[in-house]
Amino acid sequence: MNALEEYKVQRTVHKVLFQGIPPSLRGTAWMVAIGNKKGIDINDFCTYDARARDLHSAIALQDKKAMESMLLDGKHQSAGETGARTTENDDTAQSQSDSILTNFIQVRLDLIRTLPRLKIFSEGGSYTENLRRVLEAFVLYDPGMGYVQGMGSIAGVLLLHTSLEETFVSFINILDNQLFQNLFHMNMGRIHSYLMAFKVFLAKHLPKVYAHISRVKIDLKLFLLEWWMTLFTSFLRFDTVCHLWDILFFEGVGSLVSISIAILKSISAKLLDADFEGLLFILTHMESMELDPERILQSSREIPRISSQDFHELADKMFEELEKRQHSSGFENSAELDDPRVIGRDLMGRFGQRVRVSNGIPCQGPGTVTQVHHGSTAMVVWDTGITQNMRIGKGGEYWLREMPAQLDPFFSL
Amino acid sequence: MADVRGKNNYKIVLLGEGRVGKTSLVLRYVNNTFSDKQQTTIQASFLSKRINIGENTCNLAIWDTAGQERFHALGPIYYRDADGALLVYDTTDTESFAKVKNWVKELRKMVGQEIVLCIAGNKIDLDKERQVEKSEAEEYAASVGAYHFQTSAKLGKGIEETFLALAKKMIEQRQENDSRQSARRSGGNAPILVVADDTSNGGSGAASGSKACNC
Repeated sequence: MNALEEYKVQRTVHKVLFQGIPPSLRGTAWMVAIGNKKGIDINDFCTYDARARDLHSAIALQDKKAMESMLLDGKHQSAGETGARTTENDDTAQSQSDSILTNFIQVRLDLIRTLPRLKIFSEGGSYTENLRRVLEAFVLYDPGMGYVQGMGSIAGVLLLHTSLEETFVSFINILDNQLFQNLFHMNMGRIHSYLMAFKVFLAKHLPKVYAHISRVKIDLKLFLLEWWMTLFTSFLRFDTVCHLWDILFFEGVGSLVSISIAILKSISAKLLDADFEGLLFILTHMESMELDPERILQSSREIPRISSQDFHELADKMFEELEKRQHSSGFENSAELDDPRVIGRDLMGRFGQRVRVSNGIPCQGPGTVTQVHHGSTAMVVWDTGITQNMRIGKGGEYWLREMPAQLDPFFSL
Repeated sequence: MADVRGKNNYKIVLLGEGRVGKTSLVLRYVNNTFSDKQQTTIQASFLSKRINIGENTCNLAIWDTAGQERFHALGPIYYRDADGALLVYDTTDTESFAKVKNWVKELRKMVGQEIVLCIAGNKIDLDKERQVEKSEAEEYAASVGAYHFQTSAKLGKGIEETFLALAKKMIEQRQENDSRQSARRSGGNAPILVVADDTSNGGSGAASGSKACNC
């Protein structure tokens, strides 16, 4: 294929994505887009499903021995073969078997609370039963991750488009990337670096909202995790979710970023109008915001494509920065001010103060003070998205200076 | 600029096992609504309510958190600078009561004695299935210096009382802290030290507080 043809194909795919894949083809299209890098066999579902069923009968019979041997089955093989089975291993296995059972219970508790507005996952309904089977099979497939609240709604939407077996394959492959692994494992350090990377894109594509959110000191963690861990199903209309997933599956995780920005953009007027509490309410109650799907799609069209690679690379860079800062001589604990009153006068209580570095530390450009720790250090979020704990001053000499308003790109917004 | 720790602002965090009815309690309290099929709370959501206590109007900033264990990693974001915690269990589920005890331990260890604790046994409308006896729960609550209430979000029972007691106690607690602080300050060269001394009251609002714990 020559460049022109390739371009034409890309254009067509692009156009289809933005018009939305026809619902009748969606399941198939998603399967193709998601792919199967994990090499899951379509019959694998049956294996895990059968194991889950056996477990349930053992639970029903309160056959503890059978349960344990089933749960431990396969996990100890390598250790057993070499005779290196230790109490420690047993403990791990025991806690894993406990956690599988806990997961099963949690799955059940959450079933009818999945996508309640669709009214499909009702008590005893066939879809509900299938959802349980997919999630339990997944718990047995990946007990280390297990079931995490939020997974149900992803698997639920898939189930409405593909068979049980296909849903199992797709679900595993959707979660097979760094971002979701870290999210669902709740690796806070990594998650933080993703949010920092997100901030960079947000500042670029939606500077006013970014500035407002930073100034009011809303932590993105407070809402974005939910948006991402449910792939927007927790608050968007079903048809909008499907349409956005078309884009997501074909374009990759990077589009999570652009879609999130598009959603924020579609309600930017409301956001800019809201104070701290108002913002928290809006961002954690998106379902009541009367979101306009057309505007979201329109906005997501306007934002240049963010590739998954760029997003991951940026997050990795942020993570390294974070690590470095944590390992470097530790500003946070060491510095004591000669005269704490200096801080009291200048920065204490002035959270949201725009600052830049006046000397010393490599400068990240202008930023915002988000917190002044007791006595000596402040946390600054630079506009590049990097967060830094900094000594504010020593002996009356400031590391951070207030930034003159006219130099601050965000100040006069 | 929003300062959530303003004079009459109080932050409450709801904690407890999954599906014990945390969201339902809050929604009943704030909006007076109830749904059998409340969507699973992922992460946490924020609601606020203004109430009058005596002559004071105060604003309750309420964080309703996800119940699943995995989300405990996020716990500190929400309880770190909370004035009060409402620990919810399901009266028909002993396990959920055990979880409350874990939360009490964690909060006392991480936040200390200053956070006001209130324990709520929810779903008393399902009395036939009750597993946790009221006397047992009350005894435990008293032993850890927490209030105990029985509630039903479905029937709208006991909820006003729960939040009211919590609010009153939070106000009392803050007044105590304030007077202790001003006692410490008195005689000093006040204005400057006041500010420097005030880290915990200054800006560690709900969200900004979380930024410090990117552990």
